[in-house]
Amino acid sequence: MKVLVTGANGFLGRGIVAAFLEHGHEVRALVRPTAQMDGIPWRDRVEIVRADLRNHNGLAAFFDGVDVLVHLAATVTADDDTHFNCTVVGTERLLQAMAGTQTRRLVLASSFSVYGWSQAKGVFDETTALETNVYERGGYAVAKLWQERVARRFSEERQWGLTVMRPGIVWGPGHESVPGAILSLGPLRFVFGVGRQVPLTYIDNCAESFVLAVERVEQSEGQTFNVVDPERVTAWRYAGQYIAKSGIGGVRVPLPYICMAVLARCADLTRKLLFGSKGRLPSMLTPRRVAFFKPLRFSSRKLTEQLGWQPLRTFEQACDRCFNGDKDK
Amino acid sequence: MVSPIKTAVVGAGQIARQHLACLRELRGVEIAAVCDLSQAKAQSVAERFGVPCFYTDYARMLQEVSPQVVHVTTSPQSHFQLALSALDAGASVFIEKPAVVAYEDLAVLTARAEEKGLMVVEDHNYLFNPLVRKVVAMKEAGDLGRISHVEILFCVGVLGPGSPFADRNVRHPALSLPGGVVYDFLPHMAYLALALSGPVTLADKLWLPAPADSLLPCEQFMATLRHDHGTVSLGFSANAQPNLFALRVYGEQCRVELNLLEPHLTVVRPRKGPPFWGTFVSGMSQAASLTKAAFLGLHQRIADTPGPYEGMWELIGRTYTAIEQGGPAPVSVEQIDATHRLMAELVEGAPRL
Repeated sequence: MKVLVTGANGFLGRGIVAAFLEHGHEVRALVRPTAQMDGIPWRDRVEIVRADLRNHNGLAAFFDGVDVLVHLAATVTADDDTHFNCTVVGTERLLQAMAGTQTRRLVLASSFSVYGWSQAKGVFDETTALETNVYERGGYAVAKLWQERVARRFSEERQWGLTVMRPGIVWGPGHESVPGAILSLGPLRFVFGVGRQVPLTYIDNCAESFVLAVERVEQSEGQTFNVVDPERVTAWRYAGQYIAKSGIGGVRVPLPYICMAVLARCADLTRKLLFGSKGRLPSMLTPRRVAFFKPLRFSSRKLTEQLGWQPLRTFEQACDRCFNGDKDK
Repeated sequence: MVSPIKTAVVGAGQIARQHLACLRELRGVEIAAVCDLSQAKAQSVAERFGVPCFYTDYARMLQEVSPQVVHVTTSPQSHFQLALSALDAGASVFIEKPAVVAYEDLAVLTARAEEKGLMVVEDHNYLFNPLVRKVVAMKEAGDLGRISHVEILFCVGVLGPGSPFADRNVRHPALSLPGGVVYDFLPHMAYLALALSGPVTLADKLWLPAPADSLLPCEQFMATLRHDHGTVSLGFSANAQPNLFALRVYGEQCRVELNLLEPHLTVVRPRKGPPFWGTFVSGMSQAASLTKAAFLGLHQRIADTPGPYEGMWELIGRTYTAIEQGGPAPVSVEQIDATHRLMAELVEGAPRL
């Protein structure tokens, strides 16, 4: 198949393009005009096209001969407006362009951030409710929620085959540090939510799921899949590996979820007493933010059962590849 | 019962959200619609602020909604046409600064508003900032004495990481303005200079060209103005950090210092007694003022107040009161004209992309 991959030079994009090539697919890689492609191993094996989705006027041409759009392009760190413009307005323009072409299939990379973490309990899977207080969340979550909405709107209006992939925390070589897992203070390494499962998905495992979503059309069209490695890795275990193998050293200090939740509740109560419904706490003190550290069981059952996905690497193998540069294990 | 004033907002970016947050709090105002070229952007802002309609077609919005007021919050290059269309459709306009890019366009707008009996208000928000109002009141009460010098200085890290101005993939619209991003800040400098010193004439200016690899045509700007009794200096730096919007007024009786990005105002007066005592008392007084500002700043953050946009909220509120009561606009056409006349002089010969 011929696949158009947007955001191809991002961390996820590099892995996904490599996986598509490995499976014998033809890839057109869409990257930003200023994207640095030096050192990307597959750069000579794909067709590279350059455009910024926010303002490029010839996006339709990139769909020429394309069977499936794999849309990964999004910003990860930016101000709220830039998040929305790059991720949502960019998607809107891209899909408007696609509407005038023969391409009818779309695989969208969404995110766990679209879920309502405050309400989530027990098993966290595709049936977990989406965030309802969208605008209480940060710019990234707002943009990812709206990106999904835009993709669903276009797909419904035009009867496209849409598959939404929601990866947990994608990690791998160059991205070994998991956001929010460890807070360093001198030699102390505070580990948030000690016994909680970190929703990790190793880059190779995640990339494989995208390939399956493209290849197994009947099982994937119209579906949403959470992508998280089935092996249960706790924050404490991850922190232990990271501290020992990354070379940062230091002493692990447990910060149980219950302490964080109580602190956030007290701060929130104080805010309500002082400022009523208004008032804004620093992000780390809000119950909504602390909810990310609650003990949940992340499930990839649907992905495994419907698409036959099996992770390519275990956590130990992933650690070896991340920290020891060991690609043979 | 008086029917609410029907208003609409065109542009759904960051500044539009500030306008909407304020409008939502105003009594007697109905936010009827928002409009943006991006449907998702218009729809998300409408959802966020409980606005019943959203549009991507501006002309259609004006026709179907018939707003009495339109807030123009798009990029500066589009202000003139959007504001003119709103006036033609019978709506008063509240325009983000700079209201126009070409000075000549301003006369067209104000003439059209006069002809239609409508209002044109440019967002001179810092004039309505409580601290600036305090300084203006001190000036009017004669507390400052004769003003010999006014200094207005912006240090804004527009090239810092994550800044939309520093995006090398898509050029920010402000970079194409005369003088680049400085033009976006120039209205604040111009209207504050005029409010604090009265009519001015341009004495000197320097647009320091940016290095060849810079995204900006100019990273540093300086100008000196003359007024009846003294001078005004205007400055902008795209590199100096941390961010600052300093306003200093040097009167014969005292000196006033503000950083408009923080709730900080210091009044320094000459003190009687031995010099060492005066220095000590003055230092302690400034320390007390800074400590108070630190707590006030923290309170503003936690209480989720409009912060630096406080003046804008005040100005929008006064604009709607004026519309409702048929009174004069809180920012007069003469003020807007004087601001843009001064800006036109300042940007003559300025580098641009």
